[in-house]
Amino acid sequence: MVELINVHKSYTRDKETIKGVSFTVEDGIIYGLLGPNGAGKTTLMQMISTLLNPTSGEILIDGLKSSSDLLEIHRRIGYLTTEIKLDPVSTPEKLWFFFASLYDIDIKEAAQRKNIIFTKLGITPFEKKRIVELSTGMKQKVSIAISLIHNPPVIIFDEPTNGLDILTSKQVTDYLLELKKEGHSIILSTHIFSVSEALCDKIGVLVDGKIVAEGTVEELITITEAKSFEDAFFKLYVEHHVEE
Amino acid sequence: MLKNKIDKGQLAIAGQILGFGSHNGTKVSVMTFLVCIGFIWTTIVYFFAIMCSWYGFNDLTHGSRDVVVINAPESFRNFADKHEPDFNISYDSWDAIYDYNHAVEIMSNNNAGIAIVFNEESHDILTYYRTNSPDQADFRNDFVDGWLQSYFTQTIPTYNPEVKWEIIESQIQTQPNLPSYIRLQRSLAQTSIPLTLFIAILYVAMSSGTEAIAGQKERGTFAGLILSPMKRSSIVLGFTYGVFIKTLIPAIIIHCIILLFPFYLSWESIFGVLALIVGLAFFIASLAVMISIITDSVTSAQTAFLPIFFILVVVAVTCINESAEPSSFYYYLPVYGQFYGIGACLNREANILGIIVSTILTIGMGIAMTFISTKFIHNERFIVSYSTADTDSYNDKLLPKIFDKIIGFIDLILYPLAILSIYQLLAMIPVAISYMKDPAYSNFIADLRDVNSVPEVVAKTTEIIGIFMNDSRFLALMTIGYLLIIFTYMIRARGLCGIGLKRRGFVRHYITGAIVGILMMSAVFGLLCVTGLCKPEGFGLPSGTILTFAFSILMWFPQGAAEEVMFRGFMIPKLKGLVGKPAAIIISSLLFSVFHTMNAGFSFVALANIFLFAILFAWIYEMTGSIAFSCAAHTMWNMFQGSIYGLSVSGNETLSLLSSNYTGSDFGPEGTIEATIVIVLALILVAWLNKRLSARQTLPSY
Repeated sequence: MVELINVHKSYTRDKETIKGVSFTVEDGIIYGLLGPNGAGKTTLMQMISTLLNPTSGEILIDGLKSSSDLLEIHRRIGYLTTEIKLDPVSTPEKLWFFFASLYDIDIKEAAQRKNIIFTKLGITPFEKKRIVELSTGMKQKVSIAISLIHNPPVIIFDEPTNGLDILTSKQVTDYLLELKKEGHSIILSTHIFSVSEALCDKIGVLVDGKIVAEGTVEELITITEAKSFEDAFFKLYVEHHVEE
Repeated sequence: MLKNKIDKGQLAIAGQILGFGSHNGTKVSVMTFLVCIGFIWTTIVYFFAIMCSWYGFNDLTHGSRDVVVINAPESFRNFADKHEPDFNISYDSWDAIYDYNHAVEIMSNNNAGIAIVFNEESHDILTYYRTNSPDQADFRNDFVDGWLQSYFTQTIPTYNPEVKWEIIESQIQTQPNLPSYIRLQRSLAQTSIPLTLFIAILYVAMSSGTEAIAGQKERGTFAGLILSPMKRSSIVLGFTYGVFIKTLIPAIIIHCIILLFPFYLSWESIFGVLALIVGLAFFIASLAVMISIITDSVTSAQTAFLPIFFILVVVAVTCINESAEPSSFYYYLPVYGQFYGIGACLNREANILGIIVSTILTIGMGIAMTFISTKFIHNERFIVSYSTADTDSYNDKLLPKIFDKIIGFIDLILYPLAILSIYQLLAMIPVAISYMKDPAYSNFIADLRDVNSVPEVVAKTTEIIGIFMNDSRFLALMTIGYLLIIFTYMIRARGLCGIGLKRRGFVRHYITGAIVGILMMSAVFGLLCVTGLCKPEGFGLPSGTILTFAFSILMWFPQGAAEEVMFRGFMIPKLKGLVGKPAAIIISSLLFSVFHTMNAGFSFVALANIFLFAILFAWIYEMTGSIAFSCAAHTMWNMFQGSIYGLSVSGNETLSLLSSNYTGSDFGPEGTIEATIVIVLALILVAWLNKRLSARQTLPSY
């Protein structure tokens, strides 16, 4: 379970990027953060994943605070973002075992998990190729696999299907649904409507660093009296966006 | 931190660094390495060249009771003829009397045990004699304290009673008289071998250490490590171990190769050298990791490491210079201890306590570095990147905001001083080296001994600047130096705008400025002639100085521009942000005048003049929004003053087209009331123009 309580973040003195965000993600649901470019999605994700510290407010992961239980939080979260790259001269297999030792996973257990996840995401055919030789989609799959190496209860995915073709996308979204069924809480950030409509149990619309609406797809459509989900998003955006 | 046991993660990180060929030479500039190696070997060659004369000297038969006298005056020859001493005296002459190497060479050629050098100009008698040989010491006592002293007290007073002569003693250190192959082997052990080990350790630590974390940040793989449930301190330790071991490998290979030579093989050389290189490698590795943490990319990490690299190389070179007989204190110091310790171990003279102490100290420093690194890595600023992290709140925690202002202010003041002195120093080095063998320069250095008051220091400094200002090489280098200063400021201010230069109207402003500058200086010159302070004596440069003159003319252009950029173009907008417009003009002008106080003949009038001069230019800058005008006026003012009318420019004399007999202030026309009159008139003119211009601007626009 992830709780955000009135989180603020400013990079510079005069501008707040995140202006007081609060939401809760229960176990076994997929929470989607939807917002235009520059709304603060990545900042929020980085704060949840402890890479950045909020200027004020609290982020609790299973009731743990990053200031006191940083390592325990790291054991409980898996973070995927295109900003975290894979070592280009390594291979998926080598990287897997490298991260397994960082996460202090027993080598036998790591090998077992590798077989399961690599097969499920279709990495096995190229597991011995070097990362530089892989395509974007392949790399993204390897990143996903590695971010799930320790079977984390909380999964934070920043644009997981970005740059993937429909087939690979499908593979990834199916796997996410499977993880959800296993009881993981998943936070997704995306700007792709179809993904959020198909996957998310709850959607938070982020505009200019604030959550302007929250609910299921249907709820959002009802609140805004819109025809479709896309339309609902546009209405929310126009209503809340302030040009600077 | 030390309580952390070595866990799997640390080993994995260390192993990743050790993965040979993984990121083989990513961005590790081969050029950097080659430049370093080139620098080091040039230095070695240079120092060996110096030491060669020692070797030659060592081939002297011991107990030589010959004396060589250089530049002997007539009275000495007479005295020697009269007293018929029990040793041979040979005579020689040589101008550069402070050239130590040459003295040694002459001694060697004449097979002499003592050399004495007369310097007629500074009234010194220099005595060079060998140390560390008892019979030589006796001979020295006989000769210097006895014979030379009697000449000194009996003859010199009658020869020229008004002048006070002085005996100066210089010792020439020699090594024990060993067979030459052993001397070579010992000196290699003290110099080249430790240096090679140092280079190997430094280079590998630099390439792999800076690559480690900064490289991971650059490739975007670092966040992955940070997100793993490993303690940040473990991550740092993992990297440090990896870099440490990788650094150690080439050093140990070199060590093994050295031990293949039987004369270097001993228990001391095996374990002593090993302990020393382990200590050094750990220290350098942790230093490299620390730098790697606080930088964002491999290139910036290496740039940050480069000064450290050079400092350590300089330490090594200093050690080489003193390698024959280092003070035992050095054996206990970090870095110095390693250098001397390696030499001593290989020569089987190891100071065991020294090795232990210096190794413990060095490793302690390494541990301190690692500790600092773990502090850094807890800061998001260093794990994400400068651009995204919350730098402001970071600074807030560190220092209150007023400190930012103060630091900004100090930076503004010190930057011009620092940058100018660096470039001047750089321009002086090649010229100074060529002066080393110049007799005039030797006498000049001799005179420096008598300098013991502030005015004398100032006078000497002016003299030095005078020597350099009449050297075409220095002028050419300074022309480049001033251009580089402008360029540095451009980089600092990110463009022409930041240093107060605009493309629009540049040519117009520059030409007007030049004309105004010439007119102003000519007015000052005219006034000086009218009041009789200055009398033109005719045209003409001394023959053979046309090149120097051309370079000095050329130099005024970037010189004026650089000073304008430093004190006005860049400084005034910055100061305006800190203290407001009027204060900015006054502070920058004050700084400009204080900057000139270091020149010769400085007086209150000069201070006032320079201050008014600065106010005038700052005002014009404010009016035109560009420093083009003042660059040109400044250049022309200096050029006409120094190179055309033959007056001194702020206390500095240069070659000039017109030679003038000037009897005013030492500071030049800038120290006279006549200049004040001209500058005040110019200020009034500017005030009037300003009023007219602003009146025009307030007219309704159509």
